Amino acid sequence: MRQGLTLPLLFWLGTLAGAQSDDLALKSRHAKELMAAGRFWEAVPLYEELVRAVPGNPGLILNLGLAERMSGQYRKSIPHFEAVLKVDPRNLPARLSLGVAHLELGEPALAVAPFESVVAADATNADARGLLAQALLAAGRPKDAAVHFRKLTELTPNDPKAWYGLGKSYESVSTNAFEQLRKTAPESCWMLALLADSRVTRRQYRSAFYLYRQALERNPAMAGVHTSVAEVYRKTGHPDWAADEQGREPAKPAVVNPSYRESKEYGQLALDAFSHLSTLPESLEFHQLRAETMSAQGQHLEAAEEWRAALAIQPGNPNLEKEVAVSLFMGRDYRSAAPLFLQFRPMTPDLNYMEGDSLLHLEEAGRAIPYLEAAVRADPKMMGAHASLGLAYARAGQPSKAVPHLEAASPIDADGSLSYQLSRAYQATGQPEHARQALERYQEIVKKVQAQKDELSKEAQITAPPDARQ
Amino acid sequence: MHGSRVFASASRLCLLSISAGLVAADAPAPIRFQDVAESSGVHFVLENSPTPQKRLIETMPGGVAIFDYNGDGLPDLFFTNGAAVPSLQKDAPKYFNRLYRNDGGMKFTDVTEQAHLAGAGYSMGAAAADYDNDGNVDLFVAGVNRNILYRNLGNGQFEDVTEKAGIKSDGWAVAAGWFDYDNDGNLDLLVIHYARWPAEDRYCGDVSRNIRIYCNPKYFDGLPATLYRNRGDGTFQDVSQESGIARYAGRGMSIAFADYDGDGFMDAFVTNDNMPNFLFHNRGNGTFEEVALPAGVALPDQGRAVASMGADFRDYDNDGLPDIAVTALAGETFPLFRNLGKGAFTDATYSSRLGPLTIRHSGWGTGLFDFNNDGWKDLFTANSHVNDLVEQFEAARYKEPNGVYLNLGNGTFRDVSAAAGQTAARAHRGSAYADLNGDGRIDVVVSCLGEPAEVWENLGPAGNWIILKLVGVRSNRDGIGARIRIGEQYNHMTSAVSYASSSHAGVHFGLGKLAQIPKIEIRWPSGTVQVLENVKVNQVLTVRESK
Repeated sequence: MRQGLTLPLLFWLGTLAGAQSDDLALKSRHAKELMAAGRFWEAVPLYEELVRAVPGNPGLILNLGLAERMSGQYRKSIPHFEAVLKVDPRNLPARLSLGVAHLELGEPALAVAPFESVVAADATNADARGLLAQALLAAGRPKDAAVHFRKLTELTPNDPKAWYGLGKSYESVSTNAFEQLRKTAPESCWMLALLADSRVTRRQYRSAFYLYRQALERNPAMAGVHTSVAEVYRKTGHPDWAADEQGREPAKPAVVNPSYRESKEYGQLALDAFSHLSTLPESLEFHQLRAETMSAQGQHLEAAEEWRAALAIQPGNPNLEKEVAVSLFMGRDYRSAAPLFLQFRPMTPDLNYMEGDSLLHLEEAGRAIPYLEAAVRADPKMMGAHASLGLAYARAGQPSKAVPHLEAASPIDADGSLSYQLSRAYQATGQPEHARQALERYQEIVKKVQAQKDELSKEAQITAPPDARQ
Repeated sequence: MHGSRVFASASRLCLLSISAGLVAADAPAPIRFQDVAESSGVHFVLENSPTPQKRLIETMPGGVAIFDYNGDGLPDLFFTNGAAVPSLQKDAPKYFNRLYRNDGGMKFTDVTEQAHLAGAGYSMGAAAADYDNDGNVDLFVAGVNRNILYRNLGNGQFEDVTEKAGIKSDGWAVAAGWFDYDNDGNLDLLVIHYARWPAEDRYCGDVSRNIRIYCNPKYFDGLPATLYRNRGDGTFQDVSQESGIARYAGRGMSIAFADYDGDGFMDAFVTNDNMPNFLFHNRGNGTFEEVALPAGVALPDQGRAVASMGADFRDYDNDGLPDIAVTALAGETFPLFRNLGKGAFTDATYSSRLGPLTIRHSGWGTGLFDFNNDGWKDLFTANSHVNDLVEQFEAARYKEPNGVYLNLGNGTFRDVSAAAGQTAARAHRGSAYADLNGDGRIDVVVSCLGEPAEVWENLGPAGNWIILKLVGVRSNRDGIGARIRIGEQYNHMTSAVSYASSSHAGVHFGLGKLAQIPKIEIRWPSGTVQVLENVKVNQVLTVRESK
């Protein structure tokens, strides 16, 4: 979700001096009134007319661009801002608007330069700096973004957006370092320790414990890991073991992998920024952060509550409304989620899928089918929608229609359930040999999944420190 | 037994007239129950001993058995009970299992101590049947590492014959059922296990919020069931290995029997918690093959195992083929598997409308009985979630009212729970079914964790009826396994129904407006086919197996 794209209404307030007619002056006044009233869409044709009538007038072109941008016609607005900047390269509203248009269009890299020039011209412009930081973060330059968010926290220390952005930037640097490590040293103690850290974040303490121990097996001198294990002990009700483990932390820090160090350090910086955010008065960003954290921990219903709290701060925000609906869906509260998806327009393939799948989970296969059909029509590669549509058809007594969708979804059959459904559908359509083969596939997958679970179950024990008195 | 062509054509006529009698009935009569536990003298509270450690056994009791222990024609009530935890000792009377004698008129008297049925250990399920063919209904009580077989002495007392009979206590047994798998006239016993106990003391829940919950079943390794063959001399032989039953480990919850493929041998359906169910097809040679997956009853249609709890195995759509109704947890629906014949079932949960009606509910006990005597078996479910803190984690409720689903006679059901008087939200568990007061309407008894049991007297307007009490001669004395047909309706004698529970009170048929039954056909486990003609309605009819 992007924040902070609301800018003051910066349109050209000059009059049409020397206008060709009273009619144009009237139109200009009317357009200005519409802009002031927030009726940007209606102002666009008036400005188009004015630009045609008075070609080359940068003020009118800028206003046209602004009206377009503010009515959501970002792509259309860009050439108008560029035209203004051609004749007036220092025009800050045009630069800012050009950046915003690119940002809204999901082209953050193209937004960076216009924003940078605004910030260079006015270092105290917090809005512009905030937008620049956002663009940098979205463009995959989190370290650069962090510099600007950091400055922003100095300029506006009570601005939750700045602290949220700063935390997100640091988090992104940390994640990038983690990914780097995954590529370069996937089996290393460093990787295992970072994976364990992520399990702790998700409260998967048994798994974290296993991974920390694995890391220590590979590198007994690894710094910080004993402390992390001690923390796991404390969180799982073993304070005596925690004290023992803590005492094993090496006194001298050993050599540390640079990616590991960066991931850890920036992770801590992110935590510090987020902690600061939580000390500020309640804000949208505070709830957003909590919601994102809870989602990452699989607590989707709690996340939905946080998104609702954010929505209470900014009522009507469609992005927040969507987050509420998606969290409810992920939290399997289909009854609450299903009506929410319907309020969004247009219904994207994702929304159609979630609506249809919710209805299917509510045992409303008949009602689910049109949404799921729309989803696969719009995005034939959406396998989840194929899977749901197949089951919906089967339930609705149309097994022959179910078969192709279940077949299409079979690559995502992680637990064998789709093979089972396919077997039933083949059976119902008089294809016993296919049914038998699908059932065999089901059994193979189940066996494989069980073997994986057995392997994972080795991670399931939290035991005392080696040689510790129990 | 009649086999002539004349009879065959007469039989067709009879069928037509019966169908007409049933079809002529108006819209289904409403079902209405009233909880009369308080006034009936049944004051049983299921003491499950909940602990902060959330030991799984605490949420799993308790079975209910209805059977006529003193042979006075009135079905009596038996409740299993918990024990102190972790000792698993019944160290106070509040933990006693309880037997209530039916005094008639919906009045009951606690006769536990006279009957010597207080029990021992942490009890779970109950299974009633006359295993020694002496005319007195005996009782098996399944428990946590403590099974007990009680022989009914016929004088109002029971004797613990567990050891003498060769019954073992080898794990945490939840349920059991009696059936004559080899049709030798002696009832055999199938004991269903959940897992080994005690289990690992695992913390499940949210440590940071200090919310500890019952662990997911996946953390418990299942156990195979134990099949005991009745030698006919009061002793049993563990035939789990040679019968093939021991090859299948499950987290067993309940058992129901029926001859689903009509080969004359009773088959066994076992629900498993969060793993595929078992359907043990009786090969008729003393061995079983597990066929749930190919038969289509291992899993609901979405292909993922659910927390299958209670079960009943009866023909709900009057096509002569026993179907399977199962309870499960909120978000899973209560699966209904319709028997298509030739050994195949289809998941009819959605098409029967039970899917949307049950998707928000969690159920334990269940039974397919014709509560309004209109000729179509309705569905009762004893509802509650397994996790007492579920509301803090999911959009589900822990305590729920029971469910009553009216069979509309067209393959679909309607939720009539509230109108049927089921509005009390409790942690319901086991349930048993019988006409307790001789009015021909099936009443229901439900156990509740930590709260008084419910005795639901059926008060709704109802059609005509008949209850057949079978007396086997070549077959087992209870006639368990006998298949009975009245017109287009089929039922069979079994006491294994619901969750960890037992209902041993004859075979009930609702008859709508039918004034006289032209023909009743009974297929005994011995193979004998017995036909009764022009039978009066609205009676409890004792039928002795013809020679």
